Amino acid sequence: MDIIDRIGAVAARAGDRVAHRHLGESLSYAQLWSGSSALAARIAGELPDDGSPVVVYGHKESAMLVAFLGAVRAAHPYIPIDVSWPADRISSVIDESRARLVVAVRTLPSGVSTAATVLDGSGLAASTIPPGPTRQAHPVAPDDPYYVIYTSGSTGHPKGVQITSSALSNFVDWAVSLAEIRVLIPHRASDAPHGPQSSDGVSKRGSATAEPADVWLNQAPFSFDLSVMDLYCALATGATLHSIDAATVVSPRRLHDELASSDVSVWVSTPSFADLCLADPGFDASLLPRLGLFLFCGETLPTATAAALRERFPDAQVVNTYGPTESTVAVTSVVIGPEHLAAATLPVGRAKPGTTILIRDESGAALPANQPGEILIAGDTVSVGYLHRPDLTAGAFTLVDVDGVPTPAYRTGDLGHLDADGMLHFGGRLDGQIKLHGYRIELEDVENNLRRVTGVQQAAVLAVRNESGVVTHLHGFVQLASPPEGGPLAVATALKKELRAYVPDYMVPKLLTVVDRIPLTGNGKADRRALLARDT
Amino acid sequence: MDEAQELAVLRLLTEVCGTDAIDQERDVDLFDAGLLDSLGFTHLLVGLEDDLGIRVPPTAVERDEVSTVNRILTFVSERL
Repeated sequence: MDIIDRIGAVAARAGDRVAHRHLGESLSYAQLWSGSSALAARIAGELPDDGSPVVVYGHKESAMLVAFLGAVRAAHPYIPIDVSWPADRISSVIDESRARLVVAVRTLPSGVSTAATVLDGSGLAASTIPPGPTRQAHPVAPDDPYYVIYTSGSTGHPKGVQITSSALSNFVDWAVSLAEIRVLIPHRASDAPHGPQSSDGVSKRGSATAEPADVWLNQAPFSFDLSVMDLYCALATGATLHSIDAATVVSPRRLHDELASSDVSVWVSTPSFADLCLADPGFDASLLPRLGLFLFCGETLPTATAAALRERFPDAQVVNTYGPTESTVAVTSVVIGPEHLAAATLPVGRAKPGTTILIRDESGAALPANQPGEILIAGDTVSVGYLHRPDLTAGAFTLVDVDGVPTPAYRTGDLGHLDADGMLHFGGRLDGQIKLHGYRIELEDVENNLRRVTGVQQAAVLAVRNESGVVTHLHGFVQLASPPEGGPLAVATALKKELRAYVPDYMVPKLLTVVDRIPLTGNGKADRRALLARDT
Repeated sequence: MDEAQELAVLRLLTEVCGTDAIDQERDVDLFDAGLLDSLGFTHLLVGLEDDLGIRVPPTAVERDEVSTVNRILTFVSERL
């Protein structure tokens, strides 16, 4: 599908339908379309037609959606940056991406220094575009980047993953089909028909004769590609996206009330967020009576989480998916059934149409079923590479032969195996990259930034895991130039405060211990094994 | 609150925060210190119920009431 055309079609046929809700704010498809038209004309007037990225800064505001669509309708990919990012990281991404325009839905932090033009985007949801030059705009072409999402890189600098319009379309075609599995559930057979899509591309849900349009939950920040699943599945089907903001998540009471009034029918989140909700005994089908589907991505789905959700939401399906940012959100899926819950770990699913999963050994040779090796993803949603980093792109992307056709592929650095039925099982990472609450973190990235903190001479960071092997938190060790003043807690708090100026909150180690000397291995690297022994 | 109950709270907090340093610096804001987050907070409430029989649904408490060790001790003693 062409996503921009789809959104335009919904705006034309059902313009007053709600596209986005956030803290009582509501954006209709007509507002989304007219606001993005005006912004596209403004962006085309502001920038040459060079496909340079547009940074969009903010959190969960409806204006974010207007800004994303405005950029791509002017043939410029967008880079979503969340308010949780520190000024330093924002500056470096604007600089390294060579963006010439920043749409600031929220005011940029004072510490951000950039030569790019900053456009006030706070009024975009109300179609108020600041005055300036405009020009007729044309939308992004299928093979050009639609968005660029930055992920943690081991050098201490994030990498910009470029996803083309066609890759996004291929992903959304499949992801939308996952939502249609609810048709197959016998106990919902008496409901009004769910999908398939009508010929105009607008889901039957929400038309006058069928049940109301789906409401997709948006938990992840837009800078995290998990959000691409809920955002574009909702917009491409004329459904509503319901955003939960970071301030709501930290208050269990507000979160409960927010969910109660959300009317969510499709849940998209990290498993960690579901665990957080499950701590509330009131989180069940009576709170969310329309909820028919959970879609998980971003980190390992614990068996216990899936089991608890099936118990609390007996009428809902739980779907596990897997995929790195470099292959557009997710490429495998499996509906979790009773047969999976007996095993210690859940499978991550079978490849979507258009994707081939390959398991390779260190020499690059293909491995047979049940043999663990590196997971390679080949197919129609693989990224065209890291923005302005051909060196990193060459190391991670390649072409592989799929049924005689050279096909773009990404080396995930993930371990896994395919069983005899083609089901993929995830087995961890090959390198220092970890997942914490769904966020991808390179431990070296945290270490490099810790060394920038005043007084820190040397730093090492460990990922601490629970009995099931899930990372629960980071533990950092630092060697200081001079003995610290104050108690260990106060010292660690001060160090963390400074570290927050360089990295997002989720990368700040929960525990920070000052040591006299970081133990080193024979080849001069921090001895993580020795530190781990100290940790336990 | 008796000594055994205070110890039980401190043991629980040590477990949730992952460090016994909290015992010595009881007025440090545990959320600011990055030692307590939403998930840790819910673990704390579950632990209070299991270890001390205090039942507090997560929706019935604001984080300001339980942001430091001393505040948590007060919070618990008021409900024993």
